[in-house]
Amino acid sequence: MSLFWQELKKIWHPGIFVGIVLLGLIYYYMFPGFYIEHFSNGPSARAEFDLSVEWVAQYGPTLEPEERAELDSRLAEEVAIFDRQLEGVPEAAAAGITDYASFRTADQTEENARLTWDIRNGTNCYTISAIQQMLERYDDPRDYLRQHDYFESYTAKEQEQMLAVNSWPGSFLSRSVMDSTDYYFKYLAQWTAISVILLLSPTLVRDRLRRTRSLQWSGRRGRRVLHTQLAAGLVSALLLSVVNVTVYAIPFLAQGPLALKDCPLGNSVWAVGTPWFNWTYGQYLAVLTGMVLALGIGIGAVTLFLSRFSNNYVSMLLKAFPPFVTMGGFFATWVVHYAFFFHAAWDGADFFVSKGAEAVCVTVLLIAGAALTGWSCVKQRKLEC
Amino acid sequence: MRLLRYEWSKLARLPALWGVLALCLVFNCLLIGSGGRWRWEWNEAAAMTGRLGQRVDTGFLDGLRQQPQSEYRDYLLSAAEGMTDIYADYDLRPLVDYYTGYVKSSPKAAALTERKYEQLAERVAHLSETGAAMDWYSGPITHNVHQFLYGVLMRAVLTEGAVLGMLSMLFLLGYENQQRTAAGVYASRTGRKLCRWKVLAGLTWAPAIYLLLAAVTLVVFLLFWDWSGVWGGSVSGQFNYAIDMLVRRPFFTWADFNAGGYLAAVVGLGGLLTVVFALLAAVCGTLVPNVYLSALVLTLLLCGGAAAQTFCAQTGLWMGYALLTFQPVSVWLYVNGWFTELGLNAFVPWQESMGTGLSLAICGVGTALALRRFGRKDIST
Repeated sequence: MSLFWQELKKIWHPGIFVGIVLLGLIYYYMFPGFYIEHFSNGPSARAEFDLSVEWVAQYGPTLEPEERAELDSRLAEEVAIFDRQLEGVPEAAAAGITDYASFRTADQTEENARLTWDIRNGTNCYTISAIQQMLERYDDPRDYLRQHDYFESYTAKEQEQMLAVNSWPGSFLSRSVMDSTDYYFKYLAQWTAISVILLLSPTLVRDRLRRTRSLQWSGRRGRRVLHTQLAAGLVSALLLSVVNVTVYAIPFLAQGPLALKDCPLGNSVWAVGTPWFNWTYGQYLAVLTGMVLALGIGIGAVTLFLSRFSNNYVSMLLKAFPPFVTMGGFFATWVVHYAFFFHAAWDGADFFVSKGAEAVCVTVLLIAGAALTGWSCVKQRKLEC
Repeated sequence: MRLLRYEWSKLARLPALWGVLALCLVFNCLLIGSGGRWRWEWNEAAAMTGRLGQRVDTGFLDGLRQQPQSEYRDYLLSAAEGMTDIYADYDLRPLVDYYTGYVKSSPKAAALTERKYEQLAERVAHLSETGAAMDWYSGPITHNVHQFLYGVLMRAVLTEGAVLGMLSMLFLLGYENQQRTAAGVYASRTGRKLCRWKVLAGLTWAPAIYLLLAAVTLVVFLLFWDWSGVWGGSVSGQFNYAIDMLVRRPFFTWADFNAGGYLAAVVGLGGLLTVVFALLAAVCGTLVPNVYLSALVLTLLLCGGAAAQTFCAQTGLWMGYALLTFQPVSVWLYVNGWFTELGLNAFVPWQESMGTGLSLAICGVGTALALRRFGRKDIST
């Protein structure tokens, strides 16, 4: 066990740790910080989120048909509030805008564009629009059969699944929260990949440069020292991923998305996509977190393998460059992007991601990582000192 | 020279370098493949107009009319017939107001912006005189292909060249420590001078790798994209435009560039920028003995500069922002608009060239000072 702790101590070199922390702060400031500062980005998204939270507290995570009628009176209340707010804008009456209906008419034209802009931002206009759109959507549920390209790309069984989602109870899960979640997790996954590569890259190169191999191999543990080193590396990858997830979770959860944790992912009253699984938002967050942790371990295993077969730091950094780009730049973000939802493989792609493909990809990465580290251990037995 | 050759041979015998170089070229080929959606249109336009010259006049229009009738020919013809000299009455005032509106909290930055656009007005008048707007380049698809070549492909080549150049420099500077020969080599005054040769070897190696990457990538690109008839066309033709902060404007360049000259200028400046990055690596590699830590410090330096620029923009420190737009990372970021007015990314004409020149001077002095310090400090291995 003491060897394991010694290896951990070597991996968590203070200089490298400080470098990763500083880079992490810069990364957070440049990219994901935006999605905390603008959680539910824009007044329209904010209105949608506030309504979702309010209705979940009032009606529970789903909207039942008998509760639907109450929302008409809520809409009428909001319109009455708007009319009262409008009285506080003297220019509105002068322009012939006296109530919500006349505002909508004025909003259709370019005339008084500045005034309608001010009214929209100074009143509860966005709340009214959100309720109206949501009611229209609820009363006229999505018709997949009309979305030919999208729908016909899937097999009959998959199409059946998509149609089945329509029969689920209407969820209050907000689209704006899902968008913020999606972007934030993409950056979390990317940073996890980058930080794990940076932490583990020098691990096994260091021993080689210090020529400790002959000493290690002649010790009591012999060549099996590599097992301990790999175990320490994988534990470090997991530990760093857990730290990343925890640090990212604090500001994210402070925005209040967990108010919607019991809302089902599918058949939302807002325009959220179509999921493959009947999970709640809380379960979805847990699954995404699990995927990020698995990504951290998988990428850690690949990095350790590359580190094992590098003679010097630059050779290792050169080898880390391709995984840095492919894993950090593409794979990590792709695999959590609206994971477990029906969506195209990438923008403009003709084919769509099939059920559970994201989990399969992460599993393949884990298996590849395990195979590569296992192969390193086997090869170690046959190496000349 | 013999020492230089030895240092180069150390790099040449690094298998990972050649492996990554090969992977970079494969990646660039994939990028070239990703531009396929514009290729047909570009090649078709080039095939129809290749022999007609670049200036759209009656001869060009007649030549286009004589091409076999097709839907695409008609589309090109209507585009060519609709061409006018956009520079004749181009009003820069909306652009000036837009950008000075952003930086108005800093009078100096606002004055620099005003001055830049005053100088651009002279260029607009000149472009109108030369009739650059009437150059075809390669028709309505020009903007997409130009941005694909410079914003995607050249950016990738420059990034790869810079990364490989920086890592090569770090490898050379850390070589003696890693091989445990530092104590012997650096024990004498002459031995310590070896570092100068290492820096020189790294500084020549970085642009060489970059040029190799650029040459192979561009050759593959030109194998699939027909540029034969477009080299002489002005890049300021009206089908080429730039978009900055959602505002579209013609491709105003600070000198008259044709497509060939512009490509050569971008590749050339890219080479100098690679040298700047290599010099930065030389400073870090000389001051920080541990290669991995020096790579981390270098990354922090580059990313920190970009973050500082963003911070200045967000907090309205526009003069600080203006100064930071000269840093190498910032120059690298707007590679797709080099030699143009660059909107909020530039405060003086030829900013990318001035930024690269200044960075060369500053990093050169920094490297000289770092080498001087290295020459005097105690050996630690």
